[in-house]
Amino acid sequence: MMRFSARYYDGQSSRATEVEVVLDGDVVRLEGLGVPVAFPLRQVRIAPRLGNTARSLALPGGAKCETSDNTAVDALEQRAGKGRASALLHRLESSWKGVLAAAALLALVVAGGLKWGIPLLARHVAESIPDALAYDLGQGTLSVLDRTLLSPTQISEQRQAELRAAFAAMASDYPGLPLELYFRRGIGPNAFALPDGTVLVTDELVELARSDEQILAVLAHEMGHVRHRHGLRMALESSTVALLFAAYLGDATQLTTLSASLPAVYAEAHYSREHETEADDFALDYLSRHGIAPHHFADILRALQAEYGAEPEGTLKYLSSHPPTAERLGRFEAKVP
Amino acid sequence: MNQYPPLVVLGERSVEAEPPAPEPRELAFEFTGTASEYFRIWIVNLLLTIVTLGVYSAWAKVRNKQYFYRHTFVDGTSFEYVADPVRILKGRLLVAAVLGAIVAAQVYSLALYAALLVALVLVTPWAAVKALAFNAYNSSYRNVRFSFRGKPGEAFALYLAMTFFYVITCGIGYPFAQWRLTQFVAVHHHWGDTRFAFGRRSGEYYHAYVVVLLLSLPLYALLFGVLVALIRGGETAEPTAVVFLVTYAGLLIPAAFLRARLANLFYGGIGIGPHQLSSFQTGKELLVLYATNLAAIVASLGLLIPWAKIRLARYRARCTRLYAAGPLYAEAPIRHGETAVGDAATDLGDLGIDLGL
Repeated sequence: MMRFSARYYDGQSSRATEVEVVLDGDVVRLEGLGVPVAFPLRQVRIAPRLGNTARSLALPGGAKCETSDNTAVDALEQRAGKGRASALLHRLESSWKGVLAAAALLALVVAGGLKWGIPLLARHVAESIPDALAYDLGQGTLSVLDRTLLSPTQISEQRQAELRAAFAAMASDYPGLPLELYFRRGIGPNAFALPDGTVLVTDELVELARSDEQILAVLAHEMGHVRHRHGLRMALESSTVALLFAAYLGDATQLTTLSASLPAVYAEAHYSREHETEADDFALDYLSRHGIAPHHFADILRALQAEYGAEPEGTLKYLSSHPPTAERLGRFEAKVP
Repeated sequence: MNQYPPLVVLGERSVEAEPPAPEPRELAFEFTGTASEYFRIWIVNLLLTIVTLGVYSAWAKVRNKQYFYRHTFVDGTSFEYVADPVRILKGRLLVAAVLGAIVAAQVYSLALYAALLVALVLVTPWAAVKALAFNAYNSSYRNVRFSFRGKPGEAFALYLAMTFFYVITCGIGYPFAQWRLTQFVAVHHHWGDTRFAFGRRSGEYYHAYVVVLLLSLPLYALLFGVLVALIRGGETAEPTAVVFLVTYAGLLIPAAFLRARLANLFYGGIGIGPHQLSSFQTGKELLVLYATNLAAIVASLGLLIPWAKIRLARYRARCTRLYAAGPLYAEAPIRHGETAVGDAATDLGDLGIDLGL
């Protein structure tokens, strides 16, 4: 026998009646309604416990009993053999030890996820996408850039043909990649790769380079971006980070939009630097395999650095999309063939 | 349409105009949640959501909402949120699929992307009505559910008309559009068989916007002056930090004043049968609350989010009253077989659309 008081609502109206709930064996009886009312315990749906808030017992037919006697309802739940998950949840939520463990675990999972989990996941997903689909990505980007930032190249046809031939020879190592080389003018010495296999070099970079080897080294780096599907991975990584921060901040985003975007920007810059290092690895490997001295890449990097001036220092360097040049130079200069 | 009790609004509190009305009882809303209790629920929700890669988020949402509902009391009884997490999960999966399709389309075909975006815009009023219906149907007070009975067709027509009006008036029509949409949302809510009414006029919305705009002018002049002085002065240790603060102040101060006024217009405009809500948030108090919440959240790297949410809920409850003309009584609508309203409301679940009222 178990007995506790509750408020009874019949579900037809909002009128409340004070009742006594009595558990008699496997039968729940309500006393105080004037007429005898009883239900088998297993037909009573018990709302999950949540802190010390009042809970309701939903009776067949739409009526409810509401009570804040959580101890009694817990016992009722146990007798019914239900609510194990919710009881566990409540136990976790009510012990500060459990909560602190949860907080520590959360911090670990988030930190580990940001540092290793998300990049790993993005790589696996990106690599499991079939070639045809993966390299469809970003098509049309070049035409948009042509209309906005870039202007036609002024490099002579002959020079273009020379570089294209060298590039084609490089690309023949990777028959699966739809690599294509383009020349454009207008954004200073630069080179970039698009996910669809477009590799673009600016006139200014071709003019800055002291030798063809230097250009080839840059092209190898850009091929590394295409080979490792960095465009796709970046898209996956940044959207996962955005989801993660959305989950964390929830409704608070309205208040913290500006400050909330900062950690996400840091994370994305970190991934970008990792991609650059990976592309550097690819270039280093390519150059050594083809008997081109790795220092050519270091030379052009140094020339680019001279062109663009000092890099950000202090905490700002964590917002940079590329690793520090000194670090990159070191890797290519250490490897003297 | 004019079956609502006649309401006298402007200035004074709305009072039912029937003669034998007893002196209305003033019922306070009370929020009894505490930061320490909610923090524990919040962090467990978060951990399980992340560990289950988002699947638990539906359960977390229900638990979260239940916490705030069960701790909000009026006339000695709290509210109840009874949504089925599985339905919420389904709604979320649907939204994720749609967003995924849009992102994929953006990458592979710009024409398809544009078409999907247009479709998304067109489907918004329908989805908003579904979300309102779901939320209302799963909210109950004294075991009588709320409902939202706005028709998607009407919402769609209204939304198109208001968008058109907003565009041809170059934005001047915005307060009117907001008033009209708010009215649509309010008057289609019911508690059981009791209809909601909305006793605001569009002029009151214009008044709110104009007042906040006028209040903001000296603020913007001041902030602009600060920026100019900074640039002239040249050498400041942390110019970015100051610019950041100035920008935030420029956003936050008018937002707090506007929010307070809009909340008062909305809640204070709502009548529930013979009863009338009233709301008296102030911009100053809301600003202090927002600013301290923001500072606490940033300084604690987000750990004080639960504290901030509890404070806001407590403030909102404290600033809301219900003037009850007689007992709070409603009957559940007569059911035709299974709940007709409920079926339409629950086939989709919650889409996570928040109108931010």
